[in-house]
Amino acid sequence: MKTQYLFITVLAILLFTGCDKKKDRIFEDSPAARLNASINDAYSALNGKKTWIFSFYPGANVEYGGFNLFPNFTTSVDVTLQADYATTTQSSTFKVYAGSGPILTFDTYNSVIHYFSLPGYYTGNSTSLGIGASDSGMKGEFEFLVLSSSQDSVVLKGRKYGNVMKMRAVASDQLATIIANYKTANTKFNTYRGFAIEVNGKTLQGVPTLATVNGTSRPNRSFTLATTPSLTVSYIATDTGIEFYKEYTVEGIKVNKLTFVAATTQYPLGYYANSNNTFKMIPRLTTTP
Amino acid sequence: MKIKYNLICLVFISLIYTSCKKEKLSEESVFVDSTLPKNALDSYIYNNYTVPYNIDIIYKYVDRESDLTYNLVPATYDGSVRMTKLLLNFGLKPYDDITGSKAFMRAYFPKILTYIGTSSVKSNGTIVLGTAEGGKKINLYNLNNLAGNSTSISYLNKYYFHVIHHEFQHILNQTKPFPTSFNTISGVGYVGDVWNTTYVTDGAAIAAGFISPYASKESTEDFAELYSFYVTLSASEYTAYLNSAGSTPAGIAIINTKMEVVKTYMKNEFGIDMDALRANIQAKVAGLSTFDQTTLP
Repeated sequence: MKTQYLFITVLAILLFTGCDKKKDRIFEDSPAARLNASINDAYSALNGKKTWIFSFYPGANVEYGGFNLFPNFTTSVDVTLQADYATTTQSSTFKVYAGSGPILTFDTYNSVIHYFSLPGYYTGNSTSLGIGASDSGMKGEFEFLVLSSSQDSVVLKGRKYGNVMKMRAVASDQLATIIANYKTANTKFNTYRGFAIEVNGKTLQGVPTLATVNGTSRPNRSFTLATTPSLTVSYIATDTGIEFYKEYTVEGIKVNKLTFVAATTQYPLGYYANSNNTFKMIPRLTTTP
Repeated sequence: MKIKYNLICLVFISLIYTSCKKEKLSEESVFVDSTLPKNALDSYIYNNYTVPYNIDIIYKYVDRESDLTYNLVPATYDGSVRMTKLLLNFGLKPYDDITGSKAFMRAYFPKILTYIGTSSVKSNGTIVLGTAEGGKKINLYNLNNLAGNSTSISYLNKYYFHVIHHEFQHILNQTKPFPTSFNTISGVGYVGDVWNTTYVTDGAAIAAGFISPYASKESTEDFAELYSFYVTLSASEYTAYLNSAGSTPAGIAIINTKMEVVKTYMKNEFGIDMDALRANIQAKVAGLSTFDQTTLP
């Protein structure tokens, strides 16, 4: 008798717990539908404004600093690329596909971006070694996870080394002017061999190492500061000044962007400063002050 | 009492079984077919490879189809067009001519070809020319250097056609095994993974009865190398190659013995006369300098 009650009780429990309703989804749509939607979002963003400034950072530790690439996503498959470091304009293809999120890939060769992915074996010549290791080169990426996309900006993360990079949309009719300005800035930065950094009453020295990129000897947009602990910063030259790879804290001052201040007698090359002038980066043409 | 108990049990059990209704599956697949517009090369591949041969060419970089061990870059569009046209005319068509139809290549040729812009560079600075996976896929590398070298048959043989015929022979062997008597010709002479340090020159390998250093790895590689060298080189080039510096008549004699096995195998199992195939390839190669590599219909 007892076992019978027990059996009925077990059955009753099974009945009530077994048919638990399917768990409510956190999101209304299925994961596949959301992934497809995010791919479409990425496409509509890229093809919306079409012309972009891409702050491209090769290197596993962004040790070369940034290069400005200027993609123009002319159709849903075609892209034209220009850059501040190169004189060519090249067309190739791109695609956004589903991976661990929407992935933007430049899937046929375009020297403007794939130069950074070439193994050092290919970038050298008879007189000089290629840049980076012979098997991995500069470790530039051409496949990116799209972290976010809107009509004005796209945030990308390199798939192999995880560098986070931004693309900013610009008006198509201004692109030529913008590129010219960026190239001027790039040429200017190529002459800088060192920086004095004035921050919080101290003066630090930033001396970038040189690298031969695309046939041009060029100071990397990166240097190490003798703070405690030491800090390596990477940046990119823009038409208005400098943008750092991320926000750095130097001697207690947070910096992510500097604006160029024109030359004076005290600063013959001009200097770069943050908005409240608490951080100054003064360029010079020699490695030593 | 017993009846009441059984009745309750029955009700509960039937409730348990009926209450858990299955959820309806969505009719839509989670995999969305690509709607990207096709370009001239896409159409060319579809019409000249996929439809007649059931072969797909992945010329746009797809990372999971490439070798993630290496730092690779995509192939150029121009290089892809050249390779696609060259491969069709100098790689596939000769077999069609010899066998009389496309059925042979459709049945046996690897189903996927991938194009990569650079070679795989190892950390010691050496490079890999081409690889194949399980008889289903052949990876062709270094397409970005093709434009400047595409009228040199020795370059094309070294980087592409040699690899293609070699890998293709493996697939034929997997379909119809070659006679085991072949394995005994060099017997214990195969050296395995130390092939590249055992024989550093072609001549040294030939003297030992292997057509190339790589052929000394194992009998299956030996078989594929013999076949590949024979059909890609003209009769005079082949003879000259066998007489490379360091080779010996005894070594050449061993190679000739093996080659007879390869020829007999191809003739009996697949009806392919290797001399006829070689002649057909050479006739086509004679027109390489004027072959249109870049125009797509």
